Amino acid sequence: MQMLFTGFEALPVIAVIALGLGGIIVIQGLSLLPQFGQGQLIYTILVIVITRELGPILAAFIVFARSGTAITTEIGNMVINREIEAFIATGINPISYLVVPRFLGVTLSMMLLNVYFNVFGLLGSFFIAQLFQPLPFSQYAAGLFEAISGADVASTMLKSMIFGALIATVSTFYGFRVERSSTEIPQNTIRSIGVGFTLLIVANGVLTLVYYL
Amino acid sequence: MKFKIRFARQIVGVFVILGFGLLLMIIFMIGSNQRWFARNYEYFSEFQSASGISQGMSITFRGFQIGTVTNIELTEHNVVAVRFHIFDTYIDKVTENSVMQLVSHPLGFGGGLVLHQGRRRTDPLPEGSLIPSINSGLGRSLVAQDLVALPEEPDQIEELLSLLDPILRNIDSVTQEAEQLLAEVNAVLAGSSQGPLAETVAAVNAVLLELEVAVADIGKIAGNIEATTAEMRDPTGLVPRLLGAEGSIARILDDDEELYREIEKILASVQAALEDVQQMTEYLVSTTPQISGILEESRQAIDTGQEVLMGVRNNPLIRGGIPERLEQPTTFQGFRDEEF
Repeated sequence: MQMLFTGFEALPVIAVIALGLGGIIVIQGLSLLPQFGQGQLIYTILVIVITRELGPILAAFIVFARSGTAITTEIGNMVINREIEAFIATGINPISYLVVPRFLGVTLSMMLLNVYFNVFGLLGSFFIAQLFQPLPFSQYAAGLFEAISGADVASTMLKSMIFGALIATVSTFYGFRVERSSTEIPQNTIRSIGVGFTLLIVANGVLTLVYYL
Repeated sequence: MKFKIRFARQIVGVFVILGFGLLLMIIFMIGSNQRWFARNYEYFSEFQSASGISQGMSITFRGFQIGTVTNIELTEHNVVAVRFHIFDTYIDKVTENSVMQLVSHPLGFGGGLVLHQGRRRTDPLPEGSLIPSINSGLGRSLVAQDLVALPEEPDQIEELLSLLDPILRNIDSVTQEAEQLLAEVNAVLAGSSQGPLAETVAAVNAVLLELEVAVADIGKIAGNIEATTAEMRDPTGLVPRLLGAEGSIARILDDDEELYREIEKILASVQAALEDVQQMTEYLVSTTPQISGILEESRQAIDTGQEVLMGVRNNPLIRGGIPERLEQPTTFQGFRDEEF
């Protein structure tokens, strides 16, 4: 169920953003790069921007904004309603019952959404490219798969996995930080967004540095 | 139940399977494009210098990339050993007596390692074999024995001309664009074009027409000024007649102070009239309280008369008597009269 809410329901937003981003890169690239005789660089730019950098981080922002806040609110409400105490009283570990499924669901959803982001971003750019410079799909695919490498795929998947784990951890942590008042729920949600976004950006920077080392 | 909740497992299943399927497809496409799953055959060659050779450099055969340089090392005999692999699709090109040549373009337009095939059609050389450099002793010997199928040397001038051709085409296109631009500028200047520049030129024309009219007006004014100046220069003209010692203005001013006395009289009359006005104003101010008292008494008399008339009308013998009078406070009160 977590994957339905986090993964499947975020797909339309992810698709629209990826299509738009791919289109913008192609429009800007095709208007500028051929002037320097470097039209082939458009594939490299697409891979760097969509696959390696913006794909994982944008998908993570969307997932955090949609599902991270929902998880914090949900767990915070459960704390207020004494449901966590009820779990403990009946011998159920709330971490294994509430946190682990959300952690796995968000992490897996994040990875899959990143794959979809890449597919939509790179396909969207192909359709936009048709408007400016019609070229057969085989040629486009050849150029693209020439530019993309296994390291790029590994980097983007690793990033999305780490981002997913970060989102789930921060969201559940701030959900459990709610103590007794319902007014603490929005406060902790806001705090989780601030901390989560900062951690995502820092993690992205670190992973990018590791990639280039 | 909502469709999404009812078929949640199926939806998530499709979402996950499709996602992983796409990921696998992408990996497979990258792999097939970058020859992850293809077999490469390792060979090596020896050169006197590594200058111009780099790791990852393409091995070409008649313009096609058939392999890549994988490693360059300096051996203990001070020979540069270049290891490279040949793609499995082109392995049949690596025949006996093949040689390698480092080609560098005289004008710096690229270069690379080129494979020259042996003339004899044989099976591919065994993996790990030496393919000699064309400049090595073995290579020169093979070439001398005409065992290597060397392509005909291209004419250097022809090659240079082929390089110059695109440059000339670019110059041609630039010339055409310049010609179009000049035609456009001509059209704009002739007023037969549309667009911002044409609008600007039209606006400049309109301004010039207005300027022409203004210049004509200034010319007229200048003519008038010239005529006035001439009048001033003329001793019998209007200005000397007015301003001269015997002129009209001199006569008005030289009248034994008659004009001055007249003005003084007028001013004295005005002053007397103003004094009368002032006396009248003072009288009005002094009589204002009396007028106010008269007005107040008149108002009270009118009120009393009204009451009498009302009493008469409401007489018990006739009606219901005199009604009680309600005091109406005046509305002319300042904020200072308020009690806070």
